[in-house]
Amino acid sequence: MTVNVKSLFLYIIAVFSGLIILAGYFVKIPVLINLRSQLLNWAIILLGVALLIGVVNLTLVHARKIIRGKSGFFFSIVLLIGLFTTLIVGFVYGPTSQWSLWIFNQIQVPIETSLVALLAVILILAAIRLLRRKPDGISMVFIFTILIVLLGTITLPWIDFSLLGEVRGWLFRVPVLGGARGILIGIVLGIIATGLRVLIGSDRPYED
Amino acid sequence: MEERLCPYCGKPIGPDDTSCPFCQKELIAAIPSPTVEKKQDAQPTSIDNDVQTDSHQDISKENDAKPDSISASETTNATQSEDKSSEEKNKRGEIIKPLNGLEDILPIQPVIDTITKPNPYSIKVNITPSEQKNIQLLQELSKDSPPARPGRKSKIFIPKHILQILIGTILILTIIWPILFDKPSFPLPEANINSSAFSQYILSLQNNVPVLIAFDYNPGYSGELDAASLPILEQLMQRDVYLILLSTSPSGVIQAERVINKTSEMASIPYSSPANYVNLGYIPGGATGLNSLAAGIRTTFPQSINGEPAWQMQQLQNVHSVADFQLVIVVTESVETARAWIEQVRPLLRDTPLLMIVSSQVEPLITPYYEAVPRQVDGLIVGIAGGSSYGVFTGQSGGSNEIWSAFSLSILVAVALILIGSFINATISSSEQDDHDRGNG
Repeated sequence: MTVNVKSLFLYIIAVFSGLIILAGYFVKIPVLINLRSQLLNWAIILLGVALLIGVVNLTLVHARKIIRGKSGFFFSIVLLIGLFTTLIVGFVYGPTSQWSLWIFNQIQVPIETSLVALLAVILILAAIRLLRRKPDGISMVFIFTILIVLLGTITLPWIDFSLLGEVRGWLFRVPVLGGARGILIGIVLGIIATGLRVLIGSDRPYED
Repeated sequence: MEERLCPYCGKPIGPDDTSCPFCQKELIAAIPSPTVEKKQDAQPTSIDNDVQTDSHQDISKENDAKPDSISASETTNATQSEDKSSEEKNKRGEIIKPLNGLEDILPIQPVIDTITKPNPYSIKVNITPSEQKNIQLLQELSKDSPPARPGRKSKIFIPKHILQILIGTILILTIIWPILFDKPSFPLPEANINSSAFSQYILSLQNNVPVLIAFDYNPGYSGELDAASLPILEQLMQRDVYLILLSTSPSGVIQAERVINKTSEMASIPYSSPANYVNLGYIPGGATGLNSLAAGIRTTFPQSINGEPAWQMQQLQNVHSVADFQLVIVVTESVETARAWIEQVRPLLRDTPLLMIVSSQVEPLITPYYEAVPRQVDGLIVGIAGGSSYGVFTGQSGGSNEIWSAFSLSILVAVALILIGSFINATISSSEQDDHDRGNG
């Protein structure tokens, strides 16, 4: 029987770290708590480094695209100009300076807000087309619920919509709350199962 | 030479192996090799068949006269003496280590004696009618929904992008109209219990106490969450509390600065760093980062985002953990972020209230934490409607209240568009279905 030493080593590190973190919650031993805190700090540093690696990788990918003259290289140029301008402004004037704020307010906020606004148009269009593609009872219930929730949110100058507001409230308190609790319990059970799988070594995401 | 196979894993084994080199299980003599049996079953010669039939007849006659144990033993021996391969199998003897090489040591009789017809157990499960109903419901739920009808060429055809542009234009005009002309004016929502509960926490704050605010939302949601958080920030500034800002989103750091500046300008209350607030910056790692923050905020953030020591201000001298803040407010549009705050930070807050200002899309999944007993989220303001209701309660005019009419009118128009569009599409779909049925008929 052959034992993969690298795999075993990774497994021991993963299980050891997991058990230390887990034990830190249940056993109040100062050494254990300090060790847990240290491991968490390392994790945060690694995640910060991962973000930097992501930025470097993005830069390299788009730089290669520009050098090789691939289709859409113009967008890569815009991306790199944006990246380096923001980076330079951040380094020179500081991340919360008025210039950084100007870039954020005049470029990033309008662009991202526009993308979210497009979502509203797409969702309305999807709701309109739903009865064309699936004209069944479930679709009718779906559309009806959307209308109640939307109308229950607003107030009108001419009509008293308080009843719809109450229906919306009931929808949120009973079926939505029940469904949401079910989803949350499902998420937690999934997290526990995933954690246990990693701890017992049946799932080894670090080997990928 | 006959090939031996492991009775457990079916892989070939050596003639002298006492344990399988593949599955590591010990080989017991009493368990016959599947290959031998398979060969006998799969390729029976006519002679073998005859011999077996004859021998079975002989044995059954002899068995009538002899005691059970002897007859069973002899039955086996008789069968094996007729069958050459079976004889060889017998000659192999025991292969378990202490009995290795010895033949006929383990009697086969007890094994045969214990083989009886299995008791008939019913495999039918008793199910009550209500359980049956639940099963049917579960089956219905687990079924895939019927696929959408493939698009057919319709008599009335409007290109998709034209419809998108039309809807977008109508919505833009609807939003701009009330802002430009101040008409129609929609009544502001009434102050609700959530607003009053949220406000009580802010009104109970003393001057200069530290309040932690996390701006954990992307710029795309600033339209909604800025409007919802402005009246609350204004009230905090009026109380002259010391704000500690941070974010788990890279853009949240600058977002925090932007919102503080905006509120400061709107409320005409000068708020500057580090006299009135400190921006601790970005904390990477999502839930892990928050866990570390909860474990020790001073070690996680030794410096502010501008590189200055973060904890030198007089107002922060007594802050050593998250529980030392007077209030923790999280502004987010993400369920995961809200959950991470509740799961990682809330347990260590002790008596410090955790309040949340969230986007409407997060409301269904965060309400369970707010409705829980005891509450895991102590105060909740949801979207523009929540912010507007809060503004009404506190008597503030900015933020959500300024855009309430535009918001209400655009929702009303969206409802009208969905109703009209759905009606037209349902009619077209119905007539197409009729044409299709007639064509088939």
